[in-house]
Order: sequence, then structure tokens, then C-alpha cells
Amino acid sequence: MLQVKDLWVTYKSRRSAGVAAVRGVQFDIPDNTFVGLVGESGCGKSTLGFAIAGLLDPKRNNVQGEVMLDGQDLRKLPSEQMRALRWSKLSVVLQGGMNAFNPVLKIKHQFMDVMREHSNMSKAEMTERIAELLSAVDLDPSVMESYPHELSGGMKQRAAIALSLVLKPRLVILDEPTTALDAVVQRSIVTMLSDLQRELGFSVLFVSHDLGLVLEVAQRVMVMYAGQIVEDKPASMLMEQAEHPYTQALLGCYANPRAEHVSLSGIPGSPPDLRAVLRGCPFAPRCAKKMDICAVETPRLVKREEGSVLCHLYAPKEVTVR
Amino acid sequence: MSLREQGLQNKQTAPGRYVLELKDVSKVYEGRGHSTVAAYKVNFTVEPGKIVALVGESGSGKSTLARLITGIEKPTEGRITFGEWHVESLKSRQLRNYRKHVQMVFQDPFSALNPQNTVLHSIMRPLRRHLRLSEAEARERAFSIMSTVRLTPVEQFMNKKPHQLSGGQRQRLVIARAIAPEPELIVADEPVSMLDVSIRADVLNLIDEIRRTRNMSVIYITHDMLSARVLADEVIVLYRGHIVERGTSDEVLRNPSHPYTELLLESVPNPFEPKVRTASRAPEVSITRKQALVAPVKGAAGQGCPFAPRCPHVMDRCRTSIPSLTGDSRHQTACFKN
Repeated sequence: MLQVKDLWVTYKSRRSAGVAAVRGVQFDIPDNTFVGLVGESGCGKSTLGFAIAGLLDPKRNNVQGEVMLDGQDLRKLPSEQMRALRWSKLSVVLQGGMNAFNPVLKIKHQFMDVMREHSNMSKAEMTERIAELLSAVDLDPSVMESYPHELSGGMKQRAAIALSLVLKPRLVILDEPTTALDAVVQRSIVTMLSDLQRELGFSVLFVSHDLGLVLEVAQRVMVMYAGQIVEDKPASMLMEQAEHPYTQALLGCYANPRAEHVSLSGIPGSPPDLRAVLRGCPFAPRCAKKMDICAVETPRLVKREEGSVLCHLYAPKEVTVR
Repeated sequence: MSLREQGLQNKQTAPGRYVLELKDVSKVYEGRGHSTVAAYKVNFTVEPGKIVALVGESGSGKSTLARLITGIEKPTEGRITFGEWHVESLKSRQLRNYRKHVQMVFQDPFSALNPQNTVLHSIMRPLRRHLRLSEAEARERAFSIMSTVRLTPVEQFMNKKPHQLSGGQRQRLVIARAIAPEPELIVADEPVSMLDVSIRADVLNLIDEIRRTRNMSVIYITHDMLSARVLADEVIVLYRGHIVERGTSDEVLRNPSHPYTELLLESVPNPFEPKVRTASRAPEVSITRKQALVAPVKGAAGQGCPFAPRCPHVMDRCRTSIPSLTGDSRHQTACFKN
């Protein structure tokens, strides 16, 4: 359904060549799939989400490549048509999405605004749809009569998710939807979201820094580092046999809190400066399995039976002919 | 400066002499027509060089306790003593002296730092203000603190401003600033929850190292059970101002016995032990904030366990009386189930 081909995003800068936040990303999301996009802050994961949703200002960003949604290249659509597509085909929930509600309007009026703009439902139909959506996200339908300040953070984020589903989109992009929330609320929202995704059959691109959380809910996980997707695998496979040293290091940051002995490891160093031209593998300076080639040659994508990995360790041996 | 204050000032030497003790501490916020109990008869002590974690969700009262311990607010009832200070009755000047010994580290390293100040200035300020060091002494001490928190090479970091630092470096600067006046107690309110998972271990290790080398006590406030297990010696689980479970961190987290602790543990992202899906979908309450505020008042009025409305094992008794903590010093739980 969604196909992203060789996508590059560069933040323009007057002083330097700009920051290449997304570097030649390629993937697709089939119908009815929960995909997680994981990486540290500054790896370009949010930029990638925004680029797909067409939310980047073309004056400040240079976006290249294709974003195909059901055969239409979103990048070539005039802004009027893109506007019509948002909410109805693709919608976005942001990290601060719960604070994006208008504080002086009741929740139901914020839903109705979107519905009026994009459909011609009657008032009764709208009310019915709102009640249905609120129950879907485990909120009491009476919440629609509340003002945003009367709801807790978790409830607002639930309402924001309900709002994103109002026009039955095919794809919902969620950028760190639960990061500002507590562990218990986060858990219940993520579980709710994954149930809802399977019941209603839309696709999700769940952007998060939390690999542990994503592994629990997503069917497929893409790991991003320095603007590139370095590993892309079904969640169960990634859990058992992560191949990229970066993914392995990220997994080391988690532990079972009930285990007999618990220790946490981090990843030394910090991600590269994306303003610079990168030579070799960008993860090499922090990598535990670095080889000579990593500093000089950019790794190529290695296809796996399912998914792919971007690392010299797995490059097919070149056949030398005598 | 009064004689008593001078006396207190002269006495300060190496950290590790004072015990923090909370005795029957309660805090009630009065609102229009309702009151909120943020702490209810809380008792605990923190020995020198120990790390005690206060865990719970937002609204559990953990940050309120931090505010009471640092003297930002006064308890409605009960006593807080730290060495010879009676924290609940300190006046503003004594409070300033007290804060030299009790420092806070906040969650958000972005807003806790003055964007105009360089790294060196941020660390030197408390040295000059609290320890009254000369410019040159403070500078030298600041360099040694910078190497403690690994903001090195020092020459490279000293003139940087907060926006030139990464999140982890910023939090290390906040920690550097907190340890500068050589406090005896550090109250760290969610110090890693805004950081990337990959650098959390680094900051937690730093806190652990500091308390070992300087024998400082740490109160570590978090909702993350995993980091509490890794860092703390003792864990205190709070729910709506009540201590529901406490004990050594290994004991409490490996054998949780309060249903609320179990719920918190279940919520930890843990890819190593896949959960039964939908298991935790029900417990989170769908009530408005108004209702949430009203609910704990009932508990405080002696009408039952605060967790009863969310508890999967609730019994009749739970709605009528508040369970008290039972068990030995290694592990105590306030629940009728046991």
C-alpha cells in the first residue's frame, strides 16, 4: 500500500550544505500491518514520518524520492489534493498530539471540525461516529462533552488517536505517541492501539525511541541510524537474531526486571553529526564489531530471506576470478 | 547570620553523616470543595550512601515527597528530619543553608539549565555561592567535577552552552551542578526518563558511582521499575500518597506482592518476556480528572484501600479499611490479600 523509494530529506541551511536527516530510505508497508520505526533521538525517524505525511515545508527542506500511497506519488500531488488525502487516507498523531486540541472547544466539536471539512455527515451521524470512536479507544462516550483540560494526559492521547481514525484512514503515522506518559498508561494505550489495528485493519507506522516497547506490539520493526534504515525484520526475528551490531546494542539496553541478576548496558559515544558528509558506515565509531572496511566503504543493503540488513559483516563474499 | 546558623555551617564536613527520616508525613492539598491527599502517613529513612527509589505513576505523590524533603513545601502533618534539621520548620534563611546539603536533579535537562550560561559557569556558581570558594579555587574544583561526570576533555566543554550539548551531556551537567556543593543527599526526580534508552545506563552508572565515592544518599524518583531495580538499594512503591509496598529492590521487584506493584512491573517494556496481549487493557481507569481528584479523599477518610477501585483482587474489606504495612524489614506490603 505505502511504498517509499530512495527518500532523501535535507534540512536547508544558509551556512552549510544542510543536514541530511534521511538518506536514501526504502521500504514498503502492506495493508493491515503494524510497523515500528525505532532509533535514537536525531536519527531522522520523525523527519521520515513527517516526509511521508507531507508535513515538511518545501522552502526549508529538500525532499527527494518517491512516496507512493496506493499507486499515487504523494510528493507530486498538488497541495489541495494532499489536503483531501490527509485524515481520509493517512493521518498523523504527534507526541504532543494531546496538547494540539483547542482548549476552548469541547472534544466533540474538534472531531466535528474534521468531519465537516472532509465529509457531509449529518450532526446525528457525526455524534454517533464520535461515540463509536471514543469507545474504541476505551474512553467513555461522555468524554465528547468534556473540554481538553478536564482530561488526563493519557485520556487526551486516546482522544487524539480516536480523532486520527475519524475518517477511516488506511495508514496512521504515530510519532512517539506515548513517550510523555507514564509506564502504565503507555502500556494500556499501546495495547489498545494494537488491538484496534487488528480489528479495523488499517496500517500503522509507529515511530518510537523505545525498541522494547515496539518489539512487543509491532509485526515488523525498522531500525534507523543516522538517516538510514540499518535493519528491517519481522519483530519476532529481530528479537531472536538481530544481525546489525546497532540493533544488538539497543537490545542490550533492556533487561527483564524480574530476572535474578539485572544489569543494563548503554551504547558508548553519540550518533554522528549529520551535517558532515559521512564516509564509511556511520555506526562504525561506536560499533563493537568494527572492521577495517567499515571506516572507508559505505555498506550496501543485504537482502535476507525476510527483511534486510545494512552492514559489512553480512556482505556476500566477492568472487575473484583467477 | 544567627549563632545557630553559624554553628550549622561550621559543622559541615564530608558527606555521609546524616540520616533522612520521614515520620507520619501527610500532605493534603485543599481545593475548592475537595481535597487531595498527596502523601498519607508516610514513614521511611534513608541511610548515608544508600539509594532509595520512590516509584509510582503520576499522581502517586512521589514528586510531592521530593518537594517536602527539599523544603519547597511543608507537610500538613508529620516530621521530616535530616541530621539536626527539622525540615518542616525551617525558615527561609535556614532553608538556604539546608539546601547546600540537599540538592535536586530534575527530569528535563533542557529547562533546568540557563541557556546563557556556559558549562563552567553553571558548575562554578554553586561552588562560589554555597562553599564561598574564591574564583580560582572554584575553577579548579569545577574542573575536577567535570572530569567526575565525564564532561571531558574539560577544555573542550568548559565554554559550551547547553544547546551545544547532547541530552546525556546536559543531564551530566545538571548532575555536576548538583554535586558541586558536596551535598549529603541528592533528590533525583526522573533523571533519565527524557533520555534515549541507549544513554540511560550511562547516567544511572554515574549516579551510582557518585554515591559510592562520595557516600551521598540518593532519593531516586521514577516510574521505571527496571532502572529502580538496577540503581536502588531499597524501593518504595507509592499509590495516591500511600506506601503500598517497600523493601530491598531485589526482593520487591522479583517477588512483588501488591497488585499495584505487579501492574507497574507488567507495564515495563520487556521484549524478553512476551505478555499475554490484552491482559492489561482493563485496569487503567477511564475517569475524568475531576473524579480522579475526588477518589483519594475517600481513602484518606478511612474508607478503604486507595487501590481498591482498580484492583483485580478487590474484596469487601478493602473498601472499608486501609491495610497497613506488614512483613519484615526486607519486604513489607499493605494489602489484605496476604
